[in-house]
Amino acid sequence: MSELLRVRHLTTSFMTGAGLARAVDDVSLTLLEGETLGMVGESGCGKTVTALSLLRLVDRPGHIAHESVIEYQGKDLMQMSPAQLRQIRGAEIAMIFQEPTASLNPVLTVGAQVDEAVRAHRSVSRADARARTVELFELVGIPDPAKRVNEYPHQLSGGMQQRAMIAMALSCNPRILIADEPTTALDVTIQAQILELLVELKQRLGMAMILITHDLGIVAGVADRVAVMYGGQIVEQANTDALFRQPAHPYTSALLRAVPRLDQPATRLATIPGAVPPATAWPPACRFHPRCPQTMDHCKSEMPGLTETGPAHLTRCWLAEEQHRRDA
Amino acid sequence: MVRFVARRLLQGVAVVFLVATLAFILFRLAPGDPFTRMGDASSASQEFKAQARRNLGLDQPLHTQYFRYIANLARGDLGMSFSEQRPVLRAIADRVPATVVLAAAALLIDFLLGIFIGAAQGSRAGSKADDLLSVLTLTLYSVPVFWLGLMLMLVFAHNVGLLDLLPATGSKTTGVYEYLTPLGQLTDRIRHLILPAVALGLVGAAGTARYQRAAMLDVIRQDFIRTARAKGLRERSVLLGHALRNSLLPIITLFGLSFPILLSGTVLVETVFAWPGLGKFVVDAIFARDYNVVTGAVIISACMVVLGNLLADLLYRAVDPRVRGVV
Repeated sequence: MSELLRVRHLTTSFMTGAGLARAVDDVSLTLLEGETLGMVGESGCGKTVTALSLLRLVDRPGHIAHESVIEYQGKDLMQMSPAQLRQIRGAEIAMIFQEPTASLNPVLTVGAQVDEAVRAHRSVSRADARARTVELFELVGIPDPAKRVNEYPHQLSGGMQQRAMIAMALSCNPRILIADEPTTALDVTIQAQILELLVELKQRLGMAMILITHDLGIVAGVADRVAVMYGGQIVEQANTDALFRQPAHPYTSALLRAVPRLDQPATRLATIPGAVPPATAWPPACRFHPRCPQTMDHCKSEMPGLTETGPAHLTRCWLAEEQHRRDA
Repeated sequence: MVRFVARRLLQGVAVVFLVATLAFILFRLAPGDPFTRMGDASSASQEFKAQARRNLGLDQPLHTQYFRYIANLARGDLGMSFSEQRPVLRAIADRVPATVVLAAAALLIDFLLGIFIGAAQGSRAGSKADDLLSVLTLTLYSVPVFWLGLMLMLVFAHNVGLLDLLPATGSKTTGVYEYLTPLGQLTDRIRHLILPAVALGLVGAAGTARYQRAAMLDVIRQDFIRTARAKGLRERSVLLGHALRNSLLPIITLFGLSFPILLSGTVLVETVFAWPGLGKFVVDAIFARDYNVVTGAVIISACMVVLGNLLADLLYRAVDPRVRGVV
């Protein structure tokens, strides 16, 4: 499989009243054709800003550092003019967001909003765009699509709204779908339906997908590879099986312990002490060291690099690096 | 839709009657009547004044006057103007068109300019142009309407102005107007309208721009704007198609609320520019204690405010699908 997206040294910072917040700090990742990359981490770890940065959708006062590279099929989005960028947005790389209710314009019909996406990239008549929209609504499982296209977002349930967002994202057959917590705002029963729909459509349309979530259960079931984020950095990246079976970073292990399980006797759920520090005050050296149960002196003085700790398995941890060296 | 309008009109009638009652009480509470003028002990004899009061029913007890007044009002009769010796309704009807034209022109300037400036500022918040326009609009908003009117005169008006471009007072050129072609008459009226309408509209536009800027800033931060950008729309489509329309919702409320302020503004501007409208007529009537004219004008203003608010509500329903079927 060939590389579709290649991100190198992505750094996005925000000038805030409390100082410079490096929300995304030197993130590098690769997305292969047709694969699903899961991105997990706690709230505030930089997942969403990473996703928005990929399409350069970060609003002021956010700023993507110039040395960042976002290559889509060999072309660097960072070097593109606004007009060139528009041809990528929605057409090649599409995105769906966490809150469908807030992500749809309340004063336009859902159909009109999907028509607009179609017409932004294809010179088709209004009628043809509408026909495509009805077809898309059917594809994403909205019942009675010909009628629903004329309804306003507030007339649709949360699940239906998210289906409409998915229809909008798929309107121009994108190669990459970025889904930022697509099920978080929905009822539990609807969550499963939307997730199934995404997986099915991804396979049917042969897209690659970046699925951002804080739910490890979702990632385990859907993703081919997983990137774990902490403090604006990727701290571990591996194939899903390897990550779940042999997590190398103490943070990943702690996250996995914090997942409630039905197949084991009920015990008190493990938590990670402390909270994610604010992006304006990342701890020096290893960002996880204040919360890490296995902190060593070295962790407090020098930042570990993202190094190979197994086959296609990258970890940003001194301990994991040491163990890997000992095993080898 | 029809039921909504009917219900609102019915509410409007109730409002107008309440306003009429309040106006009646307020003006009767003020000391004096049409025949007492401050420091005026001469002209007419006491007998003549008493006779005149009897003729106009002013000698009757207040509640009798009130019920007669309301009964007449229900029939559309606003009574006689004491000073003009003719029905108030006719006297007002003569002046309403001039005020409506002035108010409509001012509203147009107010909202078109205000929305344009505010939206432009909101979409470039923090830029130098935004800062400059903020200073400009705030200054303009702090200026009294009548002062702005006088300053405009000093710059643009014939005879007194630096530039000598436009007529300073009235709504048409006296003595010449009748001899103009229809097109010439229209041009003459528009030339007379410009200064008063600009004076009134500009101050309103400054306020509207402040609201529009805030509304635009608020909308631009919403998630659906990000969605619009994410689907690859041009920035112009994002701003005009998605941001502007949503940002108009609070402005429509402002539009409905601006009617009473605008009407009180016309009183000042009409006085400054000698504009033959309702405002100037009412000011004169207040000094003459011409009760029926004042209450009549208040009632007509109440009707305009009620209709203005109805218009605002209808606009709201047109722009925001969420309120359809709710109110």
